[in-house]
Amino acid sequence: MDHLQAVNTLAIERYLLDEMPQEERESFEEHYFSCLECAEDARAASAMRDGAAAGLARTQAVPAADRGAVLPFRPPVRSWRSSVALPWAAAALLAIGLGYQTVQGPLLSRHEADSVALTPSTLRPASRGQEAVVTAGPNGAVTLAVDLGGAQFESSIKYDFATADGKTIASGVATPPAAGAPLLLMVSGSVLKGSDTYVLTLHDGPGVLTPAPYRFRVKAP
Amino acid sequence: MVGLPRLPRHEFDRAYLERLIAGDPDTEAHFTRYFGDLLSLKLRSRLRSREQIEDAKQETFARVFTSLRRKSGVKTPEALGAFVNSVCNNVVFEMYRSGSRTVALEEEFDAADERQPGADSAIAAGEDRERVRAALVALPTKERELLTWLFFEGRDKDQVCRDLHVDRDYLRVLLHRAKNRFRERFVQEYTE
Repeated sequence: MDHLQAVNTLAIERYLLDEMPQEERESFEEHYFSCLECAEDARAASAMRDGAAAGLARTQAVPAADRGAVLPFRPPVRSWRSSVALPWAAAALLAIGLGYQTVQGPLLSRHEADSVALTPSTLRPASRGQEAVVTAGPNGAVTLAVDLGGAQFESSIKYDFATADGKTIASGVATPPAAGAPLLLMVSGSVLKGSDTYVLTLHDGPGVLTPAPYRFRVKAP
Repeated sequence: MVGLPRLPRHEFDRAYLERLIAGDPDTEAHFTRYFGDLLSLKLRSRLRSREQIEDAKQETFARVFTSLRRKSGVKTPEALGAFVNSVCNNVVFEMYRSGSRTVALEEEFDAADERQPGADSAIAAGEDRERVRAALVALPTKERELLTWLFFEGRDKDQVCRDLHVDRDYLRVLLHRAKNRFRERFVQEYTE
């Protein structure tokens, strides 16, 4: 196993969850003993797991009778105030608006429906450094839900789309989504031409936000 | 954006190796701390008790130091990590062969080691524990609950997925986020 494989496959998480077959486990151990980056990650993960195993992560305010209760990460929507769908909906509306602005030719013709359902393709941290395959929507536009992997940032996110050979084809600035929500981006079909593979890079000020660019290929619907 | 922090680290270069061979106390302390963490992580799934893990770690370190001072085993500084891992594999294999009952750790793992550590290591362990606790307490409630279910209560992972309405892939992503946040807080605790 090399560093890229370890990062792309969420190796340390699978290791902690005992999801690795013996051979892969040994290969990963061999790697993290030699890779400073992965060793740091492994040491932090080890401290976290041991701390949690010792009961240090328990929430004190939970009564004993309720200890077995489960709070879903994706609870059913009960009200607008508590809805976790709000960031998604807001981002989708923004994406549609941006789509109207950026797609050459309207996304929907005047004779078509007044709304359109978008099916975002998720780019997760696991896909960093390797190609994800995304499906084009209306007029070849692509809607991406970029999982930021828990990264925190303060002001704005600058994004750049480029072809595999480094030629920038689109860029812009987005407001950071709510904590845990993905960043939704729509790319016009008119700019996604002339390359098989595209690279998305996120910046925060002068630095690069993500440790590796997101790479994706566009598949016709 | 707050970048992912790094735990304090040394470069394993020729100078580091020479200090280690010469018995420099600071370098030895760094070495045993750094690789001690990695060995604990590795050994936890292979040995039954803290005592066995400590024995395996101490035996590994003893063999590595002996080998280094005989100038055998490590050809280049970059190979140091692989060498430690390899020596540990041999130690574990010998423990298996010696007839030790070695099964994966369960809940009893956290039973206290009755052997008394030295005063310095006890203080260090106490400080570390407080840093770990502070970093865990700073996590969002849902992430703390997830870690508790997985590693304290040992809940079935498929059941955890069903309860959270997520699949196994997404469970890894949730753990990834919790780990990154923990790591950030943990390093902050060290630097403050």
